[in-house]
Amino acid sequence: MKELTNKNTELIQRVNWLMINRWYAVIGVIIVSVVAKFLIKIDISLINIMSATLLLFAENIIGLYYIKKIISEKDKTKQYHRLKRNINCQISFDLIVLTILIHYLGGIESPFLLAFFFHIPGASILLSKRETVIQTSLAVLLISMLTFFEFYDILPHHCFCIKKANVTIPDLYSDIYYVYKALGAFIISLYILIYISTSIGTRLRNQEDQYEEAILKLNKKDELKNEYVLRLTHDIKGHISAIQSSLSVVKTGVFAEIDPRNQEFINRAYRRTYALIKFIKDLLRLTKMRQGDDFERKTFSFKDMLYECVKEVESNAETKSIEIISKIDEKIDTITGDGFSLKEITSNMMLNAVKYTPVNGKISLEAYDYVDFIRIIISDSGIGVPEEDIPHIFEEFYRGSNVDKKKIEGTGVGLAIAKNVIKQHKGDIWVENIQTGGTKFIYDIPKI
Amino acid sequence: MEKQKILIVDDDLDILAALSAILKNAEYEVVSAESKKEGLEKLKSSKPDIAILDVMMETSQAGFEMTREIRKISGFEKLPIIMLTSVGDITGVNFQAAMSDSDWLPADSYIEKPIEPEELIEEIRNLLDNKQ
Repeated sequence: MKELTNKNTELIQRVNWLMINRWYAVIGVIIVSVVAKFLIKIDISLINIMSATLLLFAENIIGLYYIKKIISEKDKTKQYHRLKRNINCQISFDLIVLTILIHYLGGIESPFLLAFFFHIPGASILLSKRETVIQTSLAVLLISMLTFFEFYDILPHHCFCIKKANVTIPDLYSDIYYVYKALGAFIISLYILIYISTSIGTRLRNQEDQYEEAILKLNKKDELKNEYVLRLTHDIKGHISAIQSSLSVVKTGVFAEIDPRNQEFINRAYRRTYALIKFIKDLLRLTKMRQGDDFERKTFSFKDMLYECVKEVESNAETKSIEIISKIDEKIDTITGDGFSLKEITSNMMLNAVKYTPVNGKISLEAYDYVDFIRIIISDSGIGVPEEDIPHIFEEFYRGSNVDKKKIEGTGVGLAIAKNVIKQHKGDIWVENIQTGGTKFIYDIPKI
Repeated sequence: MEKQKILIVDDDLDILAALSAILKNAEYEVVSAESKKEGLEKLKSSKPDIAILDVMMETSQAGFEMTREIRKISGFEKLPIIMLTSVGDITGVNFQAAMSDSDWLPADSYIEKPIEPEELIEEIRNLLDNKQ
């Protein structure tokens, strides 16, 4: 069983679809009747047809008003019942208007009786099986009444025909055999049609439910996995932290000078635990982000943040004699988002640029102010990203195939974090190769 | 001049040992405790100049609770407190946000594990200088 909230959203979507189609119907009827009257010269009463169309128009206006009220309803059960009632009323009213139109277009003789054959299956998407049968029976009752009222002259008959001097118009509506045949065929066909359409509909709906259930199960499993990773990495991190802290005591020679031969190996161990801690930290961040928390929204100066990033990267760049060119638009002001994460990913991407740029190279940070968003471009003059890696570069644990993994350290998680952060801000991030060599990492971040 | 006294509280004995070594080497007197309860007792008996507390001890928020309890003890309303945190801490609160709420987390600063000796000593000196 689907949750009521989901069910309601789905119904609201479908009722919107119904109402959009009703606007089309209004336009369609107007165009068709004008064409029929003036081009084909069929003898129809435009005023009557337009009045019936006006009813459809009014129905949609009233429908929209009520749907708006229903959407704001907090109680989901109440909302569901009100939606159901609204939908049934709309469909019944459609059938009445359709019958009025049929009346003006020839009654039982009208070829537009076919309109019922698409309206009812269409509406059945919104209805339960029982409701569909009731609505169909209403349609049958309305058309039968119309036919017999015309037959017994209680209502006038409007002919849907071209009036010419020497053509006699067959008054089929008053021929009892024709009336029985036509009405019988109409009723039987309509019931068969709704039988078929509701069976298909039920099957499709069941399938849809199954898919949704499967997705729900998968999401739950993913959540469990995230929990598991969090627990596991937390426990591992406790041990590594203790190792690293102990190592740093020895490394700094707190108690005694260390033999340089030993120092080398302590340094090696220290570097590796450091790298492992960095990896665990990244993994934790990523997992927490995937759980959906770890995201705060505050208004902060984006420009200041960019300058801070440049400052942070400067020392790294200096050790490789890399020049940082920053082109930050002075217009850039504040944005609302997670300043901590955005700063982290921006300086991270700049550090990446430094990492992959050879000694004496250049990296640049450009920031442009567009009306709704800010575009950041971080370019390096490094080894570039092979074309086949571009679609995967933001995946977790993915590292470029041209990266010498022994020489350039990396966890393969940094860009995945960047992508997650940008996604949380409803922004966009991508990578481009520069023709003359090097790579551009670009992200757009909405200001609000 | 008398040595300044530092109270360190952490349930990880290896971290405690490393901290103690670093601080003793920097000429501080160290009092260590393995739990919140022991920490509060030693705080009262030894009257430290500064306290360094782990966040996750017997409970995931024991360190946070301890800061509030310290502030209630007379004479320690202004005791400098450094929190030891870890990115992977599963405390159920956003640490950065908690740090900005000085009623909920009345600590003066924080240091992320693993401990870097220079960083730690510098932070302690800063806080002790400000106190004087």
